[in-house]
Amino acid sequence: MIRSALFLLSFVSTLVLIYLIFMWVPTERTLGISQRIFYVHVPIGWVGMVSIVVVGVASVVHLITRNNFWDAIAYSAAELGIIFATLILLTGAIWAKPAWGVWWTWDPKLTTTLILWFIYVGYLMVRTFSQGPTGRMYASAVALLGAIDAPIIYLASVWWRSAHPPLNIGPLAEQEMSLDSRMLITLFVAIVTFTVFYIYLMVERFNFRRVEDKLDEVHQYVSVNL
Amino acid sequence: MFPLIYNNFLFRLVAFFSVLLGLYILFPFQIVSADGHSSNDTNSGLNYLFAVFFVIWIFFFGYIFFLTRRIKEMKKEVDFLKEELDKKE
Repeated sequence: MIRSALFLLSFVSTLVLIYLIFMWVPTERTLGISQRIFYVHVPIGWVGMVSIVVVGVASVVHLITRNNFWDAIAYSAAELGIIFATLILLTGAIWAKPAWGVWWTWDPKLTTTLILWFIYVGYLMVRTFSQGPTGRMYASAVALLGAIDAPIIYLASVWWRSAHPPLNIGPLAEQEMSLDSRMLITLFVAIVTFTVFYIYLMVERFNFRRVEDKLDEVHQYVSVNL
Repeated sequence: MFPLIYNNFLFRLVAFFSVLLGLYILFPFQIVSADGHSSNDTNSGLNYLFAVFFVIWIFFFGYIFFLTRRIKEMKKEVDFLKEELDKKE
């Protein structure tokens, strides 16, 4: 029931978002149509950062409680997180080309985001090559590094002057940089859409992960007892 | 039990992206007219917007493909375990 509701909600909100991005929101004067990338790049960035925090928190709770429920959450969030982190880098590079004239620059925000991507890769590599409780412990340490990196990414354009645009949303956003109301509404809908879609994917991947865990248990039981 | 759930899940996801892809193919023509840019105008940034959406769909389809393959592997594992249990019995 919840899964169907999440699916329906993400489906409807995606349709609304497509309408807003392509039909409703005004075109930005300087960057032109390429500025509309903003309405997918920012929400993907948001989800990518939230995901590593989920991985970090779930990993710590798993270490304390030793409950595999939390481990399944951490693993699912990491797997989805790497997809979103990759998309942040790719959509950012595609937007950077018309905006800055280059695909990539070693800007603090971009560099810390690339570090986040490596942290996701590191987490999944540790999980793949080091099975059992020890592997989970090392992976949790990697996830914690990622959870520390997430606020650094958010604050990078505040702490260091960079080519990346300053914060447009959130408590630290500069007032004079505030967006047009239609742009803000579109951005808000985009963030809600991607968040709901992320939750939907998380629920599905989490359930799948639990089945994988159960299957591993059956394998172990069969190999030991039969 | 799980393959039924996940077949349903994948069906819904594929249907979801197929509808969006269809809409995406249709809509760019309207963006062009709404903003007064020609589709031949490479400086409008439309190509980059196309590229971003293309990359996003490719990644989500790729992820669905990955999940589908994993489900097939799990089905094989379940079949193997059933055979092993049957042999023992």
